[in-house]
Amino acid sequence: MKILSNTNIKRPLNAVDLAPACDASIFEIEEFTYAFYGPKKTAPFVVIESEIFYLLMQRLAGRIVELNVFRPLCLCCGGTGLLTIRLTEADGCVSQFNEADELELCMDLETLYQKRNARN
Amino acid sequence: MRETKLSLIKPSKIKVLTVPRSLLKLNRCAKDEYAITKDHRVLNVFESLSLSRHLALEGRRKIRWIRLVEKSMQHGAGAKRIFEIHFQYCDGRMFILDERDRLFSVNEVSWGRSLHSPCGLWGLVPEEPIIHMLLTSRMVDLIESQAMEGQIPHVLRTYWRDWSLTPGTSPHSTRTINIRGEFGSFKANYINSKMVKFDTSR
Repeated sequence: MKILSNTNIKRPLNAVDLAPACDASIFEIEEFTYAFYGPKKTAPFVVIESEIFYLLMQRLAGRIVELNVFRPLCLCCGGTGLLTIRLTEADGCVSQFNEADELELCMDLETLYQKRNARN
Repeated sequence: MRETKLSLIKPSKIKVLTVPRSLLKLNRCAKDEYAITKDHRVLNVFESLSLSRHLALEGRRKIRWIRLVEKSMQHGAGAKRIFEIHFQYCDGRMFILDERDRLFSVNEVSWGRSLHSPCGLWGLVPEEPIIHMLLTSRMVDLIESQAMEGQIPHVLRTYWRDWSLTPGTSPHSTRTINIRGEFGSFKANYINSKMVKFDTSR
């Protein structure tokens, strides 16, 4: 994931909000480039370019109910972690995507056990 | 954080660190030993020096919710599966404790979220109709004040029933409707064809 410093990007008129259930919005500005806006949708607070995020959006567009963008701060060493985009679906399933192009799936352990039990 | 076995301790020594309405409870059993319980069942026991140091700085602040999470890598290098504990204080600050005993504070870059999914917030099993509900922060506070321990799914279903029985609700209309339901007045509206936002009447 490449973080673009230019936040003066103009949003295309036909751009669709990929997270309509959230206060914050995600718009595809051009291919593989996404802008994250606050509730006022005036200027994006972060713009990223990523092919992995593009693939993720093919699955999650319109299904995100919570959107957080954060940098984890390690309280043990004081170091700042990678910028992380956290996307929650209605069933509580969380996808985390970070600056190093790593995509992680966070599953609640209880839900995970129930799914495993149902499968077995 | 190191997973361990529960040592022999006196129940009177156990200190509950989460608020009473929390579905999962974080209990401090000894100096650096913690247990996560649900309905008096022990789900996980672990030792963590980082958590002890952090709690010493936080004083008596209570934890609003805690979740046990398995993080699996879908794309990228590194460990395939990581066990984490996510927790949030009543003031909204969120922290992540990983299995290497590193404690992270989540510093939001974005605007704070205003809507919460019940499954994500309380770790409820994703099932109908709860997966179609989104709650404002005020509504979360109201539901937590109304629900006794373990009753949150029941309260949510009651709100959904009151909403679905109200005439004039249609996925084609995003109009907000005021409803007088079993647990009092509230308002709700469709955000899109599947998701309904619930808010308090005030």
